[in-house]
Amino acid sequence: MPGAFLYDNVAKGAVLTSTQANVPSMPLSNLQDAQPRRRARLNAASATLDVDLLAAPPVDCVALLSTTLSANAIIRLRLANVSSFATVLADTGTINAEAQDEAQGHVVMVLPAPVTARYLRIDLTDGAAAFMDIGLLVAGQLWRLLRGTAYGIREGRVMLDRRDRNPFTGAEFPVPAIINPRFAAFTLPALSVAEARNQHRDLLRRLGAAGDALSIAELGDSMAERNRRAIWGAMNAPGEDAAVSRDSLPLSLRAFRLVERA
Amino acid sequence: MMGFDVPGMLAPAFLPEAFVSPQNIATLRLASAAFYSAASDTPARAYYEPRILDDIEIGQSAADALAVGGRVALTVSEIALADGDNFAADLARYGLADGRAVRVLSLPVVNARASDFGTSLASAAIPFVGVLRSIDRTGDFSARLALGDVTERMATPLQPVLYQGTGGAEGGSELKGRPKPVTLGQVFNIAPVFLGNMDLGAGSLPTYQSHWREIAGHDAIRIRGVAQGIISTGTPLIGQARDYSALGLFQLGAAPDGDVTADLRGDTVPIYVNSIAGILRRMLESLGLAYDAADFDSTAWAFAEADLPGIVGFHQGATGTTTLAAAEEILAGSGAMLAAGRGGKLRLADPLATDTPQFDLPSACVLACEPLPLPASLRPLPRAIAVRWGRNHAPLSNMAGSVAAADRQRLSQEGSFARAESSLITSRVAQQREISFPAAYWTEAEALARAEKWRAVLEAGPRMVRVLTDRSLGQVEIGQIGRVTYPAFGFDEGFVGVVVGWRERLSARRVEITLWGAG
Repeated sequence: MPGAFLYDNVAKGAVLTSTQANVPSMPLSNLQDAQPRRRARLNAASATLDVDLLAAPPVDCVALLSTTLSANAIIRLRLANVSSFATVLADTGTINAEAQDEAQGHVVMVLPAPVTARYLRIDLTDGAAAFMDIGLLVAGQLWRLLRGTAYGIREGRVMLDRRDRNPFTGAEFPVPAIINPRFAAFTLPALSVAEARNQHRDLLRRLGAAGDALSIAELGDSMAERNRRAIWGAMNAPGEDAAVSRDSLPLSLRAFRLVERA
Repeated sequence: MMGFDVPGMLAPAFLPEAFVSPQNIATLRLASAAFYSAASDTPARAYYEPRILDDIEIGQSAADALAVGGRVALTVSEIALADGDNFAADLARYGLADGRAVRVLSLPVVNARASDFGTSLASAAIPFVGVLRSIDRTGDFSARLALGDVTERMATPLQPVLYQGTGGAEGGSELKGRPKPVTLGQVFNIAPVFLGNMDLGAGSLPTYQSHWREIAGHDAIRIRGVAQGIISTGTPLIGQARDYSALGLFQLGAAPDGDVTADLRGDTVPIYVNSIAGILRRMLESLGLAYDAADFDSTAWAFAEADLPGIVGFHQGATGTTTLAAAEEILAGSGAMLAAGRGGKLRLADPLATDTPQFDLPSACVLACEPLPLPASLRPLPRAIAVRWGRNHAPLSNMAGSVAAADRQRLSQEGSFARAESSLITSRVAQQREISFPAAYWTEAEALARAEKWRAVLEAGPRMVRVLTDRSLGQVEIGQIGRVTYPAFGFDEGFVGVVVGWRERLSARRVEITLWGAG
């Protein structure tokens, strides 16, 4: 199953509430700050985060990025059009969040299909934790690619570590970086005309080189693998062309190189 | 000394923080990576914004001041900050943070995902404490945060106590607004400030001020070079002067017929000091902006006291000068180095010091090693070193005929010089040079001892080397003694020298150390 992008974050202007968010220096508004490590703190081992999107856009992906959730954290996502959640439009049920060090504790939840809903409710339980820190809340409708990537996709990390060598004595002096960010480089060789004209143009307009998007490598991945491969970062590089090339009559091509924003 | 993680651990994060209000109501907290302090930290759960764009580089150098002496200031200490959101607008426009205290913390990262990196502020090392010189904005949406050190405060008037011009000890109207004289240590032939005729209990007599507060005593008082008899009680007669040590004053028995000068031992509050370290410290503690005792690195000053022996003196009349200029005058006399340490404390060091090395860099710890040329003041090596003693603060041109010839000579010249000449260097170098230190030693023997110390170092063939390493991070200070071994440049058996410069890149975990010496 091909991958997907979430480039229009409808949670950016949402109203967020949680009775467990009681640390003044780490308010819920940090979930809407572009810096992933500027985090909100849910000051309990169990918490509920309510999100009022102020409108009812289609949503099929909700992600909590740059979190301190442990491997045993449990999450549940519900969508509704009434704030009481008396009637629920979608419910993931209680699932393992699968947050890991590998990917900054990302938790990416994908619904089978978009649901038009104004309210989101996220229940979190992390039995081992005194608190749960979350950097970003991202929600919206995925651009689900019609076709997959070309062969040659590269996934790995950008090595910010240093390793200097004394050329005379041969002694080496490594310096580790705090994080070597993950990256993915791939080509979408078969974008349809509609994708090129609609989603890709929309992506360019909304993000430019300053905005970030969520990239999901394969929608068919398990949640653990999806979390590990999902990258939040810039889709376009400043100063460089960001464009599709019409390589054949019905298809366009676009190459991406994403480096996660840590 | 602080311990640091060895390479192979996660890199530290760096957290400069500066106060932006005199009441410490607000603190500006910035970081190389976003950080929240732990709930158990002080301050708890404080957010450090990830605005630092590049590495933090801090450095000091006294290499150019070798054989000259002088203050050491931070040479490179600018931090680039992200300013795309106008973060620095008011800080730059109104100078809100300028001159405030700043600390740079280095925090070991234990857990890269945790908001507090799995560590606590209490475990942070402090590679630097100083002042925020300024925040400027640049055209590329970044801001520059320039750091300075505590020696910035030395650029203030030395003597804040001024004559009021109301008569008596406050001087006449001609003295109003002028600084009161300062005399530290033992000085020869100063020109005291004439206050006019005053009655201090012995009748209305010509009164002179040598120092603005209590001194150890006047040892000689002269009129046109003729010594007056000094009494400490009663009324002085013609040819006599009464010493009022507690007031820093003396009175003559009659109106003088020419220049009045005096020798004295100066300030005694709280005790009399006459060494280079003692005088400098008194100058910095009691004058200018008055540093606190906590502003001094007591260990460094204790070493300097031992390394820079001899009685010296300093005098400044009723004319303005800065603490910086006054300190540099003393430093230039010995070639000593005054610097602000990493912990924000003032350090005094002798570049000629020899002792057990405080750090040792074997070749396995050396990333780069480069011999450096000696500063211009030492190349070619001087064959003679002259150190002044018996500085005459007020050379006389009009002396009474009764002044003895030997005294006449000494009173008319600015001072004498003790010379240490080296036949060895004379035979080695083609160009014969001499360096001179405008010192203020009291005796010839002390000046000669200093000159001979310089000669010994120069005869031994001083070298200067720059070493790049990842050891001793956050610890190397000006004036420390270090040892480096390297399989080149003649350092195979090790080279011991005094640190005369360092430059540290904090994120890169590299420190570049400049050592000099004859070891």
